[in-house]
Amino acid sequence: MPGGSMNQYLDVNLSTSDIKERRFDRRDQDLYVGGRGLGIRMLYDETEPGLDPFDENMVLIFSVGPLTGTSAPQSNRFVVTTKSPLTGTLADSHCGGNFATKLKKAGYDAVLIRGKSPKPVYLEITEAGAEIKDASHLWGQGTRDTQDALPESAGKAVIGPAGENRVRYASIVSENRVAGRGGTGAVMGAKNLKAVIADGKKIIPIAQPEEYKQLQKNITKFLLDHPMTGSILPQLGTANLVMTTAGRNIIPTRNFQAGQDKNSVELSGEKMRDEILVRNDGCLSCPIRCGRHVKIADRETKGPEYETIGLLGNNLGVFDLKTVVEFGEMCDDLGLDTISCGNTLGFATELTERGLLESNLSWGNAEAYRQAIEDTAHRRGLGEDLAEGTRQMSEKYGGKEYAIHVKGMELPAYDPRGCFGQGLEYAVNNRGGCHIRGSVMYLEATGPISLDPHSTHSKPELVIFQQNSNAAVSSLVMCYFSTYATIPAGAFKMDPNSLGYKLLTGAMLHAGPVVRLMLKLKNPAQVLWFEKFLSTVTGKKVGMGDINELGERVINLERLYNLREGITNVDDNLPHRLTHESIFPNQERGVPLEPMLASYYRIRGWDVRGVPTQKTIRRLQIRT
Amino acid sequence: MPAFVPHVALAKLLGTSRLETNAATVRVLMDEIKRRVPAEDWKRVRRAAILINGVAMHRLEGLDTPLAPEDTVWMVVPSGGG
Repeated sequence: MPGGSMNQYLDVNLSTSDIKERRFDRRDQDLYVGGRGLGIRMLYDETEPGLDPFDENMVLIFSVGPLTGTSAPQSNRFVVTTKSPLTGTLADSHCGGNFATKLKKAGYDAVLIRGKSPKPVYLEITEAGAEIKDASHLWGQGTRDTQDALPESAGKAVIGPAGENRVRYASIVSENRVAGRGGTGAVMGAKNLKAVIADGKKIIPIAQPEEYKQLQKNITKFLLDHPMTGSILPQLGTANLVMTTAGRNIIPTRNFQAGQDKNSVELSGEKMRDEILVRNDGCLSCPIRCGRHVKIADRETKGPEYETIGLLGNNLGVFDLKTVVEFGEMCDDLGLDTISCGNTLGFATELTERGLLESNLSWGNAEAYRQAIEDTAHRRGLGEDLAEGTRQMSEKYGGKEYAIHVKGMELPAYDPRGCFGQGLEYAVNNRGGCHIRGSVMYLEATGPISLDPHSTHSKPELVIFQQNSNAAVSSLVMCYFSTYATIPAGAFKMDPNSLGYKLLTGAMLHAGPVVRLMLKLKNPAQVLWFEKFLSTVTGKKVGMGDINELGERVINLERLYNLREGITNVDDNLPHRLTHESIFPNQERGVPLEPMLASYYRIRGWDVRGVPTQKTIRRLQIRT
Repeated sequence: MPAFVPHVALAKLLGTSRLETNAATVRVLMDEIKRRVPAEDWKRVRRAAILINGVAMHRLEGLDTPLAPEDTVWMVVPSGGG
């Protein structure tokens, strides 16, 4: 890959302090491109089957993509890959901030970290190479103070006390952005690694600079003109979702016992904008600036994302926006994933309500939740249980039927009983209950076009299409919010109560065979900006079909990794509450998963047990 | 009594984020709302999905969907992110 790559990665052994510069296998780089793709390839190759995530031989991989460090919009992100201590599956978590670009400009496409340091350290990467440095003075510090104490010009990826204490859903933080899901921060903590920082000014080679420059200009304008990326997200941040998900009856409420509360509107993005927003915030080179900077009490701080509002607010019966801002701020500083934290607190509250757990947690009790968040990060008292996550708590205290997780990963803030396709997506996602592997809820419930959320028609096809697209985009690496702009702007002008809308969505709901055909065709056309950016940066012509195949390859390798680690089709499931209890008056049960699952496996080219067939593995050129 | 929750732009015009109604159907409710909003503004704010307890109106009986006392009708606009 002549353009877009620095053609090397760092291999750091914290046990021996050995640091090597290595080159990627050229063929792997062509097949997996970068970010999420190369991350799973390296994890698969560099670890023995059955390795515990906290074993010193476990690897932690930070990877960027060919677009990272260029000015391509939404491209300054890194992916961190390891085995999840929360789920036992692969974990790949994605993050904006300033680290990705600095790592690339220091001259590396990735850094692979293995071993365990005998004492707290941080890793400093520059154009001259890498150095392991003492971090004893940083151990115990929050992510904010840690970042402040490190060199100002460097890009940083750091953990807080939660990572140090191996909380199974500990995050990694870069500026105000968070690699939240799957407990990658806990693996970093287990290695006694407090931070990875990078700095450099190397030029990223671009194969077709003139074409790239024009494309960059055009796509930035396109994104800024699009209703979603140019208006809704900049104006309201991701909290724009609150009013819609409440109206659709899918915002988690009291551990998914309901789909909205009459007070949900108190947590809306509009309320945040009107009452506490100071300014928008954003990642490097991103024109959208969906982040929020708000003022509460006498200080300015980060405003919460939708997921934080959904899980640490609505789901806990906390309807004071400033309190939710504070909870989000605490989690980010302690290094906790807000989604898993909110779910686990919700589950513990229901256990308490049912008399299965002794605690002071109760719906809306902000003081009790504040203390519990702090205790979780430090594994104190009840926090010792909360730090293990929902699944492990349900194994200890009971309540498995209302323990809201898939494969051990707690669910995001979209109740799948009001978006069946999203339910399938949760069930089959390789890293567990996650919404950003395909975001089918956007096509069913939240976006401008709603394909009957309570129908299973064409949902397996849509999930596969979306998953492939997302896996490819996060291998480039770009922010998956880009994909929201693939829905034409005209769709936002349609009247959702009109006959035309009804006919269109009805037709689209039966488009499964067409989507299947699209998935099979290796379409050489360059329609979207993903293939165009990849082509101009790398110099290798890439079409829509290549992008789809890249995503398919990544998902299949992830699946093969999970199978190797003992995760099977039995784990492609949803919590009992979500399949058996209805929250809609016209439905008797929840998500009808089984029929969608069978179709999903078949269309994917997997057998009835969800195992990729040899034919599929060969077609995708996956080395096992 | 059924409740009505407007999207934010409509809520500003109505001066409330939630109201209770005696309307027997969605049609009667919408006529009631339309009367309370200036005509030129109504054109701007009416393009929003109408949901009854989370289910789109057109998947029920459309504007003729009857309203029960415990029902909540929402008007929502497209959203995204995550």
